[in-house]
Amino acid sequence: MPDVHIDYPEVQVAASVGTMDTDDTPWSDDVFVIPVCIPLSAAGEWLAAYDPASSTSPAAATGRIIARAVLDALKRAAEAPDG
Amino acid sequence: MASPIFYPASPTDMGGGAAAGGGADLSALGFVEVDLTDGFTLTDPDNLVDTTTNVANVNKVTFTALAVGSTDYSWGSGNNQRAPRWVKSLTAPDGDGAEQQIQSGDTFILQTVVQFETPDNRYAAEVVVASSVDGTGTDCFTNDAMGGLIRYNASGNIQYGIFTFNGYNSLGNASNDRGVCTVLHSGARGQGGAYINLDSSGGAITGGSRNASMDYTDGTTDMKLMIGVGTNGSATITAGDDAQFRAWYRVVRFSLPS
Repeated sequence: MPDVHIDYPEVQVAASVGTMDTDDTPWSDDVFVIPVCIPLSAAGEWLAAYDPASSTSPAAATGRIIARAVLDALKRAAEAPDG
Repeated sequence: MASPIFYPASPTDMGGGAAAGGGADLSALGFVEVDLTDGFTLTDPDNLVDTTTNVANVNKVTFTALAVGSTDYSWGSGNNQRAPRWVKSLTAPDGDGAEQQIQSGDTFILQTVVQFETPDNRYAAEVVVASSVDGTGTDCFTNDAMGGLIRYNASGNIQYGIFTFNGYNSLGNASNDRGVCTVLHSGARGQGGAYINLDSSGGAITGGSRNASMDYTDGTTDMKLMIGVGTNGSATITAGDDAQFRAWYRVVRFSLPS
């Protein structure tokens, strides 16, 4: 399974952010900023596991790796005393 | 609690005493206060500015009506940048006090301090105090701008933060008094910066950072100081609405080791 990391010290709670989405659509909102870091050595495996044209891609078990990493960080940040 | 920070009483005060070899005291460098009525040139693509005043160092911009809001008037919400902006050459004094033009290839920092002042007729506003390679452009690709930020809605807490290229990162708090921001430039690139929001005693409340990663076209363009006043997101403006603020800046240019 491919690997993924969270840069947790860079997590920001309740920041207001204005920026561009992956498709260059501008957006702004009050957010948790959670940096997701994909090792260069794992990028090929992640890309091979994802077909944007398929609504069932990536496989649940693969997608869950990123989902759990992000949600673990969100949970920790949201439950932090000053979060 | 941090010690209260020093703000110069005079707009042109370098702050601190003279260094032994002449020039500024780098252990107590002060700021230049922004006066929009002194030395700036207004670019207002859609004629939104009615009047501009500076009384007791508070800049006040009163607007005409903007009936249909658009993120085109928000500095950090998309590629178009059609909000009014006041522009002047970005300079730093040498040891004799003579202003030196900063160029896009220089290694320098722009340090800003921004402070909200209560408007007479508040609307949802956004103010940037930024470096730019142009300052008069109507899109982010022409301006390549970044610096300190004030943003707020028609009511609620004031947010301070950083504006970079076409985005921002800011934080609101009921105790926000001033926002301090630094942005870094070197080798014909504007990288981004960081900010700290202070309470009225000079203590830090919170802070953040944001990358710009702007590669300039060349290293020989004369840099500009750009003070932009627009809308928070796609807010509308009623004729007579105003934004008021104080702002300070300091540019420091470095000579890289040989």
